[in-house]
Amino acid sequence: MAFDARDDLSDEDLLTLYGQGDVAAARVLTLRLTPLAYRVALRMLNDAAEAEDVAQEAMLRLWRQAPDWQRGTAQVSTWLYRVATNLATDRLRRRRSVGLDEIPEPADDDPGAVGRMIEHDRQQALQHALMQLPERQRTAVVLRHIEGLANPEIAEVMGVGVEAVESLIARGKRALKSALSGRREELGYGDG
Amino acid sequence: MAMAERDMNDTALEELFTQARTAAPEPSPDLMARVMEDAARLAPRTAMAEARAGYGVVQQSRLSRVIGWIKDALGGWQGIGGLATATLAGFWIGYAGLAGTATLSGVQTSTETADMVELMPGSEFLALAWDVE
Repeated sequence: MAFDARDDLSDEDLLTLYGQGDVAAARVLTLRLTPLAYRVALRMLNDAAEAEDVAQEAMLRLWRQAPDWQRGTAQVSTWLYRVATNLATDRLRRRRSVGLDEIPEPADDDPGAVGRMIEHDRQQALQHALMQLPERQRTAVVLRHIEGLANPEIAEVMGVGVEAVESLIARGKRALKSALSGRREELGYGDG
Repeated sequence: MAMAERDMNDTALEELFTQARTAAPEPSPDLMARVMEDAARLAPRTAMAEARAGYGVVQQSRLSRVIGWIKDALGGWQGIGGLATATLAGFWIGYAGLAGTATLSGVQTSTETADMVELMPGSEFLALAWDVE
């Protein structure tokens, strides 16, 4: 009964409860927000282990922030997106500094089974094309078109104006289309 | 025209995005467990204090149960009171007995002295008178 009651609370209410020592509130927040941090990190890094590390670190920072959380200043999810994208960007920059910037075609864990699935191939192609985008374009496109955030929220996450977000998304999509065009038939779009 | 057909259009790209949203990767159970562990470890002190208080209540109730068992075994509070009195008395007797030995011998000496007291002075003369009769 108590758990159900917490399930209906907003992220901010749950974070406030956790800040007052309610560990059960953190359980609901974990279930609700960890997938979000993991998804965006995985899209940006294309590495499951690194994405897990980023998601854990982002959630760790949320727990530390809880007692000092200022209600009404930002949405908890927006704050978490910002932390997760910043952490992922830091890792991308470290990769570059050690010469790992060239991201190969995404590894296929089970090519025999999954390779036959055209949808899987399409997603692999999309991810590969995303990895070819500059970091900020990639972040904006992922947040807008995969995470489904509105442009003003993306602007808050990225610390830029809404117009800059629109520009990043437009350029990102153009680059994606360009990267995927050569694979149109391969991906099953040949008849369209 | 042939080039246009090979191009990825907005519709196809939107279809890819839609598939990406519906087939979103899920974090592993291990990650979820690690995040929860962090949350428990970093929970503000008020929660820790509550946990400690809860543990104290458990300890208290166990202590109460043990006391209850002892009380029942000894016949209730009256039994415990009697046992305590007997114990204290034993201690007192054991301790005070060493100091009172002289007093007790003093009483005995007086008794010996009392034995020598003639309760019927002149009884020997009375017996002699009866013999004469």
